[in-house]
Amino acid sequence: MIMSDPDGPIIHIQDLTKQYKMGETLISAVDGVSFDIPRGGVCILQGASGAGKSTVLNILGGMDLPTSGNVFVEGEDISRYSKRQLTRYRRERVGFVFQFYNLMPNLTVVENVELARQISPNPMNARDALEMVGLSERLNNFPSQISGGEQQRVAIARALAKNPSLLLCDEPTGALDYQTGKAVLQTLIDVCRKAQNTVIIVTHNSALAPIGDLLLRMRSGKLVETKYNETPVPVSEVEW
Amino acid sequence: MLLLNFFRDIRHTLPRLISVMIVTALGVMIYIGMSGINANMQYAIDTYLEPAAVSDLWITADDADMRDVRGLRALSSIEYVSPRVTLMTNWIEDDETNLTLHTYDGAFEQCVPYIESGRMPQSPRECMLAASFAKARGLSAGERLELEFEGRILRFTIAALVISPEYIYNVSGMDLIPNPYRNGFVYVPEEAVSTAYGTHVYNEILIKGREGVSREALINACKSVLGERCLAVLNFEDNVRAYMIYSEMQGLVSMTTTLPALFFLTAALIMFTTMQRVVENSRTMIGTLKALGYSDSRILIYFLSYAFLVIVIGTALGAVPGRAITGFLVTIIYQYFELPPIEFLMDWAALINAVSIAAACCVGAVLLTAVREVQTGPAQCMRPKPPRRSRRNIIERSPLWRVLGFSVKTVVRNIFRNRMRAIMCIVGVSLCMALIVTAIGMSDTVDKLMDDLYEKLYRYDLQVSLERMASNREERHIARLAGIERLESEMALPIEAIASGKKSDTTVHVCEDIVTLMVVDQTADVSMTMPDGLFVAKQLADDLGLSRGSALTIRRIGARKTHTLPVMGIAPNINGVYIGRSLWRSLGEGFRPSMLYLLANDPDTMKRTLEDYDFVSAVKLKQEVVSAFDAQMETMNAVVGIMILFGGVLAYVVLYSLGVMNFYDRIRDLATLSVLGFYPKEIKRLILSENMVFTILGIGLGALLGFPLLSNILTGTSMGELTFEPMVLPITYALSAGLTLVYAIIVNLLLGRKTKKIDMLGALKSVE
Repeated sequence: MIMSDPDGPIIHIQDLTKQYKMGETLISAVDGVSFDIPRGGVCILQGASGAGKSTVLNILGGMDLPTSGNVFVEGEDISRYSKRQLTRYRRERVGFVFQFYNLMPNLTVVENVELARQISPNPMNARDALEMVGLSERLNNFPSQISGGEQQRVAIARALAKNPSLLLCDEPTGALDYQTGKAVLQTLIDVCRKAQNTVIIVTHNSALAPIGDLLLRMRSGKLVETKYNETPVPVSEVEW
Repeated sequence: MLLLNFFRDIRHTLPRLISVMIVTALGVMIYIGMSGINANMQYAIDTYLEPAAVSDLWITADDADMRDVRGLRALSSIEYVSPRVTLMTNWIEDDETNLTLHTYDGAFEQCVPYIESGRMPQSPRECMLAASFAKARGLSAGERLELEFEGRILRFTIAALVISPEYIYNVSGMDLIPNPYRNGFVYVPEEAVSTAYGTHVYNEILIKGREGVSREALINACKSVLGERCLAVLNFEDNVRAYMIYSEMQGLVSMTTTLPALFFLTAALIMFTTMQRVVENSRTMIGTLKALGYSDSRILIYFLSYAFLVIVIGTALGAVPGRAITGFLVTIIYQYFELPPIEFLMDWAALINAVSIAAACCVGAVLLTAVREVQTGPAQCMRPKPPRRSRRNIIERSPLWRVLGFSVKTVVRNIFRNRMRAIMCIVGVSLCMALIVTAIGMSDTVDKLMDDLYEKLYRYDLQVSLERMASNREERHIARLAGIERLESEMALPIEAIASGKKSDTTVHVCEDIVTLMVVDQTADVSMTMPDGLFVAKQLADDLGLSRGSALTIRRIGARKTHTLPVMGIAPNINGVYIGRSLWRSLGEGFRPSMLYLLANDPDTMKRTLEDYDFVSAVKLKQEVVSAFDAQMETMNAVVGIMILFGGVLAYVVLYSLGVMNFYDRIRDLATLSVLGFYPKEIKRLILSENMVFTILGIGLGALLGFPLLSNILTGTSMGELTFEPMVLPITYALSAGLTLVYAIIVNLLLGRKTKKIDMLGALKSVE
């Protein structure tokens, strides 16, 4: 289900290249990649370890700059951004879900969500965000007092509470067991569909390929497959 | 291979290891530097004063003879009895000098002088002269020395220049601080004075008690033998000239023991915490090594080598400057004492202490942490550490919590979650604050004292010392000079002051009946009418246990007649005993001015005019009198400077090393915040505000500690007759707080630069 949008795709990437110097050899982590991601819907960025997907995610997340190429997000080229502009971009437009949740251990569940609200220009109510991900109890617990699945839900709520234009998820189920991982992933996708957020899920797990509206597959720094998916499969139906 | 890994790993851990090394080095430096002072003074006492057998008692006797001496020698509580004749003489070349002459019989058994140059006298015509006096007057062994005693001339050849354990700090007569130009001593064989004084008749007996005999028992035993002939007993502890080095050492005790120990303990705690962290961070490596099959002991040895490295390098880096600090301060302290050349001692005991505590901390931390990690098994080790348990703290339970912002909450929680660190930081900062308050408080105290001297005690423009031969006619001549607005005269004579069996050599000042220029009662308004009794210096009153209304007996040295008068007042910062002229005359004593106090139109010109008179020996402007103290303040200034420096170093070490630790502990959180879009400024504020909280709490605590510390340090510190009343001005608190804050801000600036090192991508990696 692709949302038709008069403003065109939310992300437009053109000839993106990122090179690292490893000692004396130059390594191209991403090698001339171009793609568009339409507004709304779920995009799966899949690839084996070392395929360059994390690098793309880092650049999209405003944490790194490309060596060459352009990255348009909502019409603006973030590859030309200064450090400060990048921080502002992360602050106002990107929600981030980490593999290892990265909650502040010294803040309670609800405070962790409020932390994101605090820096966002147009935030969602913290309790609403938590309710969306299925957490309405134990809101005053600390991260160490709740399970991994719950922690990842908090992290998703924290990302959603900012009302971001873009939700980036780095292996969101990577640290969770099979069942919990599935449940969390389903929640993530449901919530985003409902709120019409644009979500990019980065994963090495090819089984997840059919659950998104768009599949981007990377291998050795190059984009090898772009597939629009008219009928995404519910998470409960895939197995890995 | 493990060894190779060790060296590679060190590069990794290096920043932390360096910070522990610096902490160790600073701790060791200050600890051995300061306690080295104590050790060196103790060494001086042990190597010079103890073998020189300083007397326990100086008994002033009335014509004691050999029967008395035999009686004393028969006592089992006494080891040595040395009868002698003590005369107050002056050098024939200068009436203003006071050379105390002591006889000795054959050999010295106690108060053995150290011969700096020359040899023991071999005939009654030879003497040993104080080396400091000889130096001040350009005399040397082999030259002639003529002394005047009650109109007689005693002629000697100087056989030796000596330093005496009973004259280490030779304050005497009119001078506030040792003045070797005027005061000295001479030892002569007993036969030398037999014509002037008599044979086998003595006026002073030195007593050295056997070890273990109490002072009281000793005094009682002596009194029972001497009976009426025992006029006064001077205890070793009351004999400033001999005891000063001991009391100086005691005065410095908190500076040289408590403070450095506190300092070192703080450093040790930091060593412990940081080393613990170094091992904890190598958790994964421990797991890997175990999985590869390395034995537990090999792994422990691996980490112990870290501790070893830290201790060896840290101690070495600290010991060298520590020794230099000791050398510097000891030199300053020794310059006030007359001591034979004493070699400088390295305080090995302190170094061993420091090394063992440092070793215990580092090795202990490594063992405690590493053993725990090693025992958890390889699989567990390779997994990330479970997150810290969190619980609600007191502030969270209060209603206040709701109104606090997120960053305040984080700060409060983090502080509560790392109580040990919080306590260490607060203690460190408070020590810094207390040290600075004490340091500046010392100069407040001194300033107040100087003000009192300048405004309330010395109200003259010029102080004129007259030759002893000056007469009232010469006083009148000066009084009539143009430009003199007021003149008051005074006579100073050396006396013995005796009360309740204790005696002290001091000075009587016979002043006008109404004084306006040298006003001993510093609370007096414009003028002070001398009371019908004595006005006594506070120090003398303390030494002799006098209070207002007690009776004090005074006797001019050399005279037989004594006078007993009531003490009518006690004042600080004066010397000896003051008495009005009419009262003095009514005792049947004469008056000849030896000192004039003047108010003049133009003090500088008047000074030059007066210096031309042959009966004037010295003219001093008020400023010159006061500034004479300034030289003495040098020790104090050095101490003040060093304390401010130490305070800063301490604050720096504590705040920086714990701040860095906190930073690395939370670097993942900080990276996450960075990814979430927090500006570097906001992140900086988050970490630095904790240090600010610690700093402010530390300043509060330090302000409370400052005054007690100052009082503690000033107790036992004295300078001549000047009395130090501990005082800290409000501005000093503000200044100290400001200075402490500046230290904290500098640390924060340095720590703030670290935020640049936050790697956002680190947030994506797994927990290590």
